[in-house]
Amino acid sequence: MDRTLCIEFYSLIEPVRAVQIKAQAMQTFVIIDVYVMLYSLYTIVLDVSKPLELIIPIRRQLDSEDPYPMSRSHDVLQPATREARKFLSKTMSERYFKRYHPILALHQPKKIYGNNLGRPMLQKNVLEETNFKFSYLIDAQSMLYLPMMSGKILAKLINATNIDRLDILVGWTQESLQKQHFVFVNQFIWNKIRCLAETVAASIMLKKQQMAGSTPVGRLERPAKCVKTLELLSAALDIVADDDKKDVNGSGKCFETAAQMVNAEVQILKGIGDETNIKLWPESAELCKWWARQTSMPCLMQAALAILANKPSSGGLECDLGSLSDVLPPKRSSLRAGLVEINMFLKINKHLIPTNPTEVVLFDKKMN
Amino acid sequence: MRNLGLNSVATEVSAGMHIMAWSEDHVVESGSITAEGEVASSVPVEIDDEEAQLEVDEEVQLEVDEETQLEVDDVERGDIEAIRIKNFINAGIFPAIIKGVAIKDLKKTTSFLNQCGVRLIDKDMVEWFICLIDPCFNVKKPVVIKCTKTGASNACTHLNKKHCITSSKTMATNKKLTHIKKQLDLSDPAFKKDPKRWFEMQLGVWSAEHSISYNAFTTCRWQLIGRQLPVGEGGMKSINIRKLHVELYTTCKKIIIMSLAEARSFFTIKYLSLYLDLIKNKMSNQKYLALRVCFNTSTRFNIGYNLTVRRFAPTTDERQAEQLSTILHEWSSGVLEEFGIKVMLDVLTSTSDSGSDVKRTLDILIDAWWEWCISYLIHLALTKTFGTSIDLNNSKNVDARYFFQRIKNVIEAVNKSEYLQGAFEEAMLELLETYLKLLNSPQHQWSSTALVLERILIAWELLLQAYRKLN
Repeated sequence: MDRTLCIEFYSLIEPVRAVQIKAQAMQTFVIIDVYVMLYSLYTIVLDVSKPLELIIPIRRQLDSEDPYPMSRSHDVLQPATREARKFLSKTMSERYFKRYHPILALHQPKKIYGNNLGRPMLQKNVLEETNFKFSYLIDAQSMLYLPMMSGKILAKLINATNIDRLDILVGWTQESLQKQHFVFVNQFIWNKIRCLAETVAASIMLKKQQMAGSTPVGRLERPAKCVKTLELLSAALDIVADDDKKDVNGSGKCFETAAQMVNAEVQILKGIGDETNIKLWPESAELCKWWARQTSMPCLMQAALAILANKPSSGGLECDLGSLSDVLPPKRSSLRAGLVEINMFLKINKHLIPTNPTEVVLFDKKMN
Repeated sequence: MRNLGLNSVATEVSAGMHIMAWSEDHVVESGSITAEGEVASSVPVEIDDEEAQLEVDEEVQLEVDEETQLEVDDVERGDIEAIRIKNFINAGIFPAIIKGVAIKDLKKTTSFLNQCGVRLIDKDMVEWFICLIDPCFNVKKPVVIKCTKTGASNACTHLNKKHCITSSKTMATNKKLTHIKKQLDLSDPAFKKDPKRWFEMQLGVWSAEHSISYNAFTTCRWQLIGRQLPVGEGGMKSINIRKLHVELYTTCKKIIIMSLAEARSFFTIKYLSLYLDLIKNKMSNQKYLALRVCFNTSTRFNIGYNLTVRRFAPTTDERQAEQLSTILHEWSSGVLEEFGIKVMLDVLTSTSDSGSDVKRTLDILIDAWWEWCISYLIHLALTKTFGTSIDLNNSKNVDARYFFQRIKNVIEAVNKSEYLQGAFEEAMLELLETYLKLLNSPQHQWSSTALVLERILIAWELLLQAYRKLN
């Protein structure tokens, strides 16, 4: 058995495992950390043009700091490691990093990237959800973090993607495709966020108008792509009765359209996102709390809190399912389905069970 | 309250206390008892309970043994009562009111009453007690207490009230009771209010947490335990755990529904993140649908609830009529509606593995903003990269697979060989002062192979040493 190969394999697997472990955290907000780890995984560990940093666990175990971190260029690695590194890069790209590839991330890229006599000419200026093979949800979540709001990391990820020469479309270069892809993705993400924010803005304005009794509800401009949600606004308005008491955007300005209101909020956000205001930036783990305090951006606040609720892993669910074998051991395998459901529910939600019996629902004593 | 052991009585009595003789006329102030003392011809008797006086035969004389002439300083209080009892019994002067009187066989009892007076039994087997303790002691007018056939509680009460004498047994019991009372005072108010319900609920929760069989609460052993639980009369002979589980389920469900409603009141847009999975139980070979939701509110963050793990068993007709994803959508919507969640209004984002049916359900049918679970994605990528999938035909990286197979063999060899493991452990303790066992990674979580490699690398030299020793 070759120790060098063992170290090289370990150095390749450990950073990937670190991402997985981080992503599985359920009680803390880890999206930004995961995103940054994925970025370094893609741009360093899986990039065959860069040396692989070797991790030697015995040094960690003995708490001896390594003054000279060892790294080894791809060509010097063992053949099996070279193969594995390439393979890992490919398998990870197929599942995740392909989203940063200007061609492979799109359905029918040729219909989007056209050319006019050898010059690049876009067939579409704005891409829709259906044009992408990926959802970019995790990218959208990272965009709500002020240091990443400008999309620098996204741009770097896209620029780090190598495009096969045969994939490059006529009239386009790798750089121009990457640049355009960044524009498309950035636009798509912010359109999604704006769309949600505009729905909130529309509801606030509608409520204000209803309260004032001056403007008919029908005059409200509905943001595009948000029709489904707006149809349900009336129901939602009953719930948000307190919203009109707040000073919209904190500026006291009145907006004619929801888009204007959201634009104003985006401007506020950009102002805070400016590097001169770095002291106002939150820690990545405190992002949700920070957004919850942004009462001057009520529309973006709601959109952000809703988007950031998603976790990068469904590990929490998987872990809880592990207890199914406890509830259904071999001797109990014929337990009724309803009771299995109740037992599983109680087992995984035991933190919700009140300790005081008076708080527990009491059924009729005759019920059996 | 004083305790009557012989010694305790003695300590209670003051040193200068005068000893009273049997005859009132022959009271020896100095403390000696005269042998010539005569009992008065008619002895009025005081019955404590019945407040009646009994008559004693005039002619009866008390005979006091010479041995009983004791110096007062030498006499202990317990001894005084013992002498009085002895004299009383020897004299055989019993109140006339007690018919067919006989002295109770003291050998059969160890009661403290034996040290305080004389116990008599009448013809009806009813017990009487003659108190010989000061100030009740009176030869002419002895205090007689009527007890019952079964108990001498009247006598005990008399001794307690009049002489502050309590048996050590009663004292111990009282102490225990006080301790229990103290404990009860400190216990949960809900327990004090309804101990039976409290026990029921806690048992229900405990049985759910530890997956205790429902049959466990119908066994004789449980009935034995249940009867002894301090929940009042009859204990808890039977308990309906199924009903309790349903009650707890309903309670938790209500809590979740309230929490979701609170979040809904904050948002005017979709706000929920949904996680859906289908799993197969290897034991029962049945499929289960699992659902989890996560959300933020303005004051609470990273809130997550597992809504259900429900048996997924669509009918044959359902399966034939529709795609599995459609059925999944219907089932999931049903569960979510039970919690007051409207799929099209509330679910914004979702994460799952890339199973085609699950993905289609979330991405297309529920129309959520879907993302592939990073953990699952990484697991698949690593398995494929290192060619370690269970199916050998799917293994594309033969070299890596061979490498990991060799590692597995080494670990198994070390863990199975007693000598090798011993040598390895010794070397490990010497170097690291702790023993780190070589690990085997589980098949379902490939990334933990990193831990396997980590241990191997830490123990590399030690393994070599162990192998060299073996050879």
